[in-house]
Amino acid sequence: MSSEPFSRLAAIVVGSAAVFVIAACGTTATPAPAAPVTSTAAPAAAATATPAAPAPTNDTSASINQIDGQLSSIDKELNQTDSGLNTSEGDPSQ
Amino acid sequence: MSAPLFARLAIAGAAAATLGTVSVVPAGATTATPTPNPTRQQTQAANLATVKAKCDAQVQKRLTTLGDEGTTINAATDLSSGDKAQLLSTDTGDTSGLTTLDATIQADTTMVDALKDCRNIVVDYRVYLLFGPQVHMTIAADRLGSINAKLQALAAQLAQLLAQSKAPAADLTAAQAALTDLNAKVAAAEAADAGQSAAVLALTPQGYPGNVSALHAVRQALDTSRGDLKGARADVEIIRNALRQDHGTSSSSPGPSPSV
Repeated sequence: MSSEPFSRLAAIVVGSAAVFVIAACGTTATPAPAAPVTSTAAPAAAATATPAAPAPTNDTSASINQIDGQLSSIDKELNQTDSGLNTSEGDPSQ
Repeated sequence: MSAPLFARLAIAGAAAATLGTVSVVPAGATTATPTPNPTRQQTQAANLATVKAKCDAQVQKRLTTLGDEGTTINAATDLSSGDKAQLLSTDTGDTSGLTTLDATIQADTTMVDALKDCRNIVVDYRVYLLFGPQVHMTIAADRLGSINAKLQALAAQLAQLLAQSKAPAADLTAAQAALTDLNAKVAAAEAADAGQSAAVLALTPQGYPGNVSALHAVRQALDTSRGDLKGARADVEIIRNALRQDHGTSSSSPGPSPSV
């Protein structure tokens, strides 16, 4: 009869172990929802890509220099238009 | 030897003219009593020759102008191929027509015919009052279109640069306003320039002077377009300077802006 409490104790221990196992299984099952967490990392990567656009200051400077060149070309054409329109007045003496 | 020969011919011609009708009028007429008739004939012939020479000078003057206009047309890089072809066709046609007309005038035997044909040098071609303006206005219209396209591309580029700028929004207020104005002015310039080259090319010498108002209307539209584009160009400079400031570089102008 002395073994009965022991067996009950063993049963409790086994039962507790089972609970732990179940609990452990529950925790191992939770990684499933963890997947979205890793998937949210994608927007994080996109967020790091966004600042890259304004970063190239040299490109912007090059663009401004390019604009200067185009402005010079436009100025030249506007001046040509001025002189062309000024000579477009018909000579009434003819 | 050719120069003295020419000089002797000139002296001989002058002497003959001084002596009167001897060498010009038929021998029969000289033996008869001199009457006013041969003199009048001679005067008429001289007058006809003078008119023919003046008409020829007017034709040559126009042929020179047409040659210059042809050079201008061929050198105009912004001229559309269709407009260039039409202008060159008129230039070539006028050159050919005036050359033929000059030959007709030189062959005229009466003053009436010579004067009638000589008048056609002006009214059939209107080289100075119509064709010249047509050349320069068509080139101007096409060039304004080219400038407009460049400014539109610049507006898009500047909008992108402003969007990427890290400068505080308050610092870019003027630049943003200039961008809005730039887009509005470019659109207005495009509307004013639209169809003007076709309108001026449609005018004909036969419609002159009734089509003078149409010619003036084209000129006015081109002036409007040009004014808008100059305003747009000033807007580009405002935006560029703001961007330069944003990048800590000096805001040097690319050159003097065209006079308005």
